Amino acid sequence: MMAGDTPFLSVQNVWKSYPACRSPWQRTGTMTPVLRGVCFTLEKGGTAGLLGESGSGKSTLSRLILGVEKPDAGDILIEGQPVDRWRKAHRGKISVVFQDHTSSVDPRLSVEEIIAEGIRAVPGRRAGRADVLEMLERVELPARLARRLPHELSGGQVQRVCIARALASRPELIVFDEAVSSLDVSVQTEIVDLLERVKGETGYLFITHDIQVAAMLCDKMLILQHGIIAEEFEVRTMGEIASPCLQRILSSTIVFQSTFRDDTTCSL
Amino acid sequence: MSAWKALRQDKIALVCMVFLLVVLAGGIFAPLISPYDPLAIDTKNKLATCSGAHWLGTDHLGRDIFSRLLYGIRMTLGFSVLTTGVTISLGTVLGVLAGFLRGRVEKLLMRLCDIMISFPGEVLILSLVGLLGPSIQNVILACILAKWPWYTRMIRTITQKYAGAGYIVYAHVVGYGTPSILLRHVIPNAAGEIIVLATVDTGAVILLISALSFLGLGVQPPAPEWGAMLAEARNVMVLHPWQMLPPGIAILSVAAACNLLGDSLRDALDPRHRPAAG
Repeated sequence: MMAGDTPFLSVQNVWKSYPACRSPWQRTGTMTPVLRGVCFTLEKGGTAGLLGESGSGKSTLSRLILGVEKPDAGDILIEGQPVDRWRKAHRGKISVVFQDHTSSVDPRLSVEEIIAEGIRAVPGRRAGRADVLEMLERVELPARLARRLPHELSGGQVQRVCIARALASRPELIVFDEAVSSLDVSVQTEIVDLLERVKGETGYLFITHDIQVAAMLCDKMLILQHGIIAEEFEVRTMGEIASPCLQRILSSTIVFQSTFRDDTTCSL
Repeated sequence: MSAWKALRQDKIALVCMVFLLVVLAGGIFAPLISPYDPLAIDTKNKLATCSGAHWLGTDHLGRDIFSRLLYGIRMTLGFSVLTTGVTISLGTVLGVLAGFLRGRVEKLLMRLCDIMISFPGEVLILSLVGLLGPSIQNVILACILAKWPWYTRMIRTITQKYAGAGYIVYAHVVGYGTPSILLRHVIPNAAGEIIVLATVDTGAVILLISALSFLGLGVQPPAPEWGAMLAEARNVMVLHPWQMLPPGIAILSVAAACNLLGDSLRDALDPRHRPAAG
């Protein structure tokens, strides 16, 4: 394959099922398909939002792209190579930020050590204090937090540490798996602002159920429904798309906003 | 280290640690401290009560109980720590492998554990000691054989709890190898819980070894061991009941100290229980 026309990330007809586990003695038998032939591509440095309702297979897809699990059928290729092979040859070039900030950092390690782990992921790089402080500055955390333990930080601060750790290995692709969903709205806005600045440095796949956040942060939007990509479009053309499922998602957002505005007027 | 700071603020932990250290020192320096030879028989002075010459009296052969108690520390505590140490190490290696690697390694180890666990522990130990012959080496061997599956199982569960955590997945994704992840994240995080298991179980092993020696299967006479001393005291229980007190209280207090210290360690080693640093 020629390097020029190979997309950076290519997900080709990916299937994944999990055993339907109704009771402990009825395990073998039926499998519940979670992904039924997912296809999409992402250019180098491209940013895509992966939208879907809970249970639509978003997190499963992220685990497959990270190479933590293997698909039942289909291929996930990065630069034309299977993920796990590419990952071994390019250490630290794919990274991840999780939703659950309490379990995504080692509770025993200080902020400094957590970020240093990201820096050292790249073979041959050493993590000095200056490097760590530089990363802290990039995610707008004060240097005095460097020696703190995760439980001494707020949720938003831990999520910033996770973003710093993910950026520290200078990745080409970051998977954000519901990275802002567990934060409260004001903190969410701050993190989204931070991520807007990251855009352009690295490509990412932003998994979320919040179309507004995805539209702010991504160029491309993928809607995962019932295990397939139901819709794929550029964010700037979003207004012109007349798809029922996009309309449904958009209308639910707008309904929420208008009721909110009504409430405010009432109270005034 | 802040775990140490937390432990020092816990009064019960402090008392237990000081007590165990004193007991340990007593065992190590037994030849210097003990007023008599623990094996010296003096039948003229048998079953003496507490006095200036014999602080805790003498037993049915006139041996000084205080000296025997001191030398008994080496046996009782030494063998229990040895047994727990070996069992925990074995359990940690196998449990971490089973919990982290999953797949066939896990299935094989767990079925092996199931087989071992399906025998009641005491019956297994008694039959093994019966088969190999009564001696302290065989008791230790039998204890290790009977206990490793429990540890392997518990440590496997502990490992699995950590194996799914985000920081392990992250380390895996950015390319850290399994040995480095195990040494850097899994084992240090599991260590807290394993140390707690070990401390609490040292108490249980002290009781087990004493019980086996009491039954005549462990340490053989005339060697001083607390369980064996208790068994000897039982023969004169009706006329001289105080004879049972020194070894009995010694076993009770050391086992209790291990248990209480284990509880305190559990709290101290959890970083979330520590007060926030300013």
